[in-house]
Amino acid sequence: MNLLDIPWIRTAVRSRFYPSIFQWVTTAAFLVIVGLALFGPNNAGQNFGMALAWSVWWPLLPLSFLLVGRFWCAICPFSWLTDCVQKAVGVHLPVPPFLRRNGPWIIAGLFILVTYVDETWRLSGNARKTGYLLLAVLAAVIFFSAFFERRTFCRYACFIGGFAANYSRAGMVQLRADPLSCCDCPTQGCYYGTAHAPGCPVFQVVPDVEDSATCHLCGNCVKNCPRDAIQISLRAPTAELWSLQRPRLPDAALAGIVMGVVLIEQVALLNLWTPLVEHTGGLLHVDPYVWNPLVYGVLLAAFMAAPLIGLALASLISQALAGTVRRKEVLQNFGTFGYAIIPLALAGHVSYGFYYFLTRSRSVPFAFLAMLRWFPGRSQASWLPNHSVFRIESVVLVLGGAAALYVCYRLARKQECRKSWPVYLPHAIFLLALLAANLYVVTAML
Amino acid sequence: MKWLKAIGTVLLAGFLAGGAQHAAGQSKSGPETRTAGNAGTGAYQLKAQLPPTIRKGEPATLILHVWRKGRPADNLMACLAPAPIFLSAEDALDTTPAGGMDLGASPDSAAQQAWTTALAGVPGGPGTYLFTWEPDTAGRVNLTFTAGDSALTVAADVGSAPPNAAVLVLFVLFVVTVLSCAAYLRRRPRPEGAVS
Repeated sequence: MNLLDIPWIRTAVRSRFYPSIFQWVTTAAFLVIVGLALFGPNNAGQNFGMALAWSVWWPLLPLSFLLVGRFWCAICPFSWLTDCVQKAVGVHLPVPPFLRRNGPWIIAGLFILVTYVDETWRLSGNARKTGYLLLAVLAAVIFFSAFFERRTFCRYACFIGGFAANYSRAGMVQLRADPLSCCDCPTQGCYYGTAHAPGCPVFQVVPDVEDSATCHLCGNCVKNCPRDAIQISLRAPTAELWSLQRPRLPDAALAGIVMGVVLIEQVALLNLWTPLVEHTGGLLHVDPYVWNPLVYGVLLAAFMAAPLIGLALASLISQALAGTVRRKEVLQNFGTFGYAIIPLALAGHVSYGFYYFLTRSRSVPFAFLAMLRWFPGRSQASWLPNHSVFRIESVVLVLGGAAALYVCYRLARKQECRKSWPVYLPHAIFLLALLAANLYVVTAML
Repeated sequence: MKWLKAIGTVLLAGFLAGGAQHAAGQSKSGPETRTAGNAGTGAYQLKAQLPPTIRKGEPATLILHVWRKGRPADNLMACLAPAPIFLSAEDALDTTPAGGMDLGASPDSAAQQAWTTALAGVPGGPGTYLFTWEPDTAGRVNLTFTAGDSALTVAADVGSAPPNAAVLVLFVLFVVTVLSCAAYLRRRPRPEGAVS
């Protein structure tokens, strides 16, 4: 179903106020958050900006990728800022080849770095540190916007770009063009832009688009297309994951890494964490509290490596059962079946987001009142009791696990028609183990 | 669109001015101290000198004067607590367990264990000098000083340290440099192969 066939959606997307009107709102919210993070109360619970950022925006972000693809990226305040800087002083240099080649790995590295800094520097509990992080990102955005063309930062250097791309692949919205209408297009306005709107900010030629990893749904191509060939449609979640023509190794690796990060963030809230830290400190022969950054770094590396090692083993066994254990085939198997982790990583992320949102976001109005030096009694941060939150998290995880198993099955069927079950089983067992680990962590949090 | 830009500019300017005023207010209140009451009971009379606002993450100097029968006891009455008092208990008003998103002061505050420490630099003397703090429902902390069987409780507002000026200056310098360089490069002929 093409959503652009619905008159009001079509009018809205073609309007010159789309997506600007949303960008103004998010930019205003961003300014409030940065201002309060830097100048407001340092106590996260009494800082409205912090509560808004860490208990509403951040927890709900993964869910938004599932529901509306990378729409957030279209309305992100940084996209508005990029446009403003480029209009004012932009040099519009082409993207450096190094970035083009290594963009996915750079994004993965930055995501790991931010995760590491968040935990060792305790960003989310400290307004000032959050403010410094936002200033650092802002500085990077201004730098890329001033020198490079289009949204180079968003495409090649935004630290949420990696999981945003993977989750949007599993999402429910897709933008595609009708290739028949586009084959002799005289303008290629979707890429180069027209008088109506600039070209695609993330360097997409829409007829060539085969996945939803990059498209921000900014609507520029809809405004620019002279033949109305663009379609925005709803689809079954995860359907794209088994229909990709060219699976890429960095995406598969990032899916495993995100899974590990989601797990360690939750394990860090358990009683199990302290003995784990102390044991790791013992293994490294260091005081785990003095050398916390080192110990956490080792644990983070271990948690990120575990799903990757599991996937590598499953790929090896899978290829052995299929009868061809060569390096190239095993790597191909790894890259292909890594996509099956995405639904589970997404479910883990969404479930963790629900935990934060449902147990903390009620603090937002109280944080607002606290800013005004008013501290109402009987305030609570949680919307629901823990056991209800646990049920919701479990349902999300089980749904994610089922989706992952189904994606894996479809990938196996596509790979080896005759030997799909032997190819499938090792990966299915690996996915079940990941699901069990996630469920255990959620149960332990209860 | 012009009116929208004008409104945006005014709002941004107001916001920045408000932030700057807030930061200036915070830094201005630093060196002032206030003196709070004598303990009416016990063998010692206590008087505390403390800043009007105690800022988390910043050193605070709390001076406790102890008298006995109108004379300084033990000839050592000025007790300094120059340590950053909220360094180990970063969120003074946190009423939830560690790791939780705190809500500030609430009636449940009483359930939280008060943080107790000996005042730095205090030798023996009339008794063990201690201070404890606990949040109240007005966003303040109640500091209790104890010397022997005498105790004095003083409420203090809790504020936050202003952002690190060096970080802000660095950010502004970086942005100005980047924008200036870009503006300069823009006026020069474009390099071969540049695409807009």
